[in-house]
Amino acid sequence: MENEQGQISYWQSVIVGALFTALVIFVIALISGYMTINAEPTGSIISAGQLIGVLSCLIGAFGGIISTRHYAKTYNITFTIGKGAMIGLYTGLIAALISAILSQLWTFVDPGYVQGIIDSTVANMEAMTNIPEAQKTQIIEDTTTKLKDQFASLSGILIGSAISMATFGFLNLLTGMIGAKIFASED
Amino acid sequence: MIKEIQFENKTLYFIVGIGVLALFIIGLGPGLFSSEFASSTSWQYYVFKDLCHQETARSYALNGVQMAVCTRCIGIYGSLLAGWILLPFLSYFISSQINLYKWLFSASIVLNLVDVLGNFLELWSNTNNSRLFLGIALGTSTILFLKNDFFKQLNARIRYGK
Repeated sequence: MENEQGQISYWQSVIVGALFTALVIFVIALISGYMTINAEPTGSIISAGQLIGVLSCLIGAFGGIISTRHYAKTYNITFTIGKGAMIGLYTGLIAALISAILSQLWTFVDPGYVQGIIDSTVANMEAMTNIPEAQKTQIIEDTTTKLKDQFASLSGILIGSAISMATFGFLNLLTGMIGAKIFASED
Repeated sequence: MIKEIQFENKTLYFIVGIGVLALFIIGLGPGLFSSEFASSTSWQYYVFKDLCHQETARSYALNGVQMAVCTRCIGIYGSLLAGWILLPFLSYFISSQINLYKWLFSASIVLNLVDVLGNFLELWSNTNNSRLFLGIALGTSTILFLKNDFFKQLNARIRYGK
């Protein structure tokens, strides 16, 4: 196994990991969104419709492992965890960006998707029984405004994408280090 | 007999430390800052919306408000943070056994997967505490697995005089 520290580009591996992760995030978010839309209101803070089951937990953080594995196995090389971290970081950033673009494209496929999520979230809040009516009305108004900001305004979409890029970037940085240690370590 | 520890990848160590601290604080959810009613649009939930299922029954509450991540995830982030802070000390007291740590890391992943699948297939029912424990096992084994790349224990040698 050859030790390589800079000659061979890792961007192909980054794109492979990012595409896989972006598709997984996008599909999970879509299933989760439609479950929210079709769920019966429960009145809990996070509605049952937002779930797609425990199997989805942290799955979006695996991009770093996929990219580093692809890079190490394709070129049969070893590299440091620092480089693995960098590959993971880029993978997470690009995956979040692609996922955000796919989400926006989906609003053309199903124009009622965003409004459906807002309506079902509001319906869920209306089912709450443990708070006074006046407070509930205020919360519903605030939530509706926030959701419209998050999903339907340009600034909300950009801020949401930036948050996703930061979170996915960092978590994939971690898994990139792990991937480098598993697949490309000299130990 | 004096053990010498070599600190490597310093920038990465501090970046990861700050990032894990941020993830843990955000993961604790809006209840950390206020026990007032928190809506599902609180930004802490938004940060983890594509990463964790955030199921109410599978999450702890802080000040009566559901955390932004499930018990397993808060166990992972909490143990990663604690382990990351303790890493220099752990490196001093625990020797570098790469194969053992690799085995522990693999075992903790398999344990978590088996637990998730067993519960999913209704072979058994896990609890919030059992999921937290398995999350802590995964976070801790990750720290041990990566330990040697940040704090390398050099060969012990006898130091004479000052």
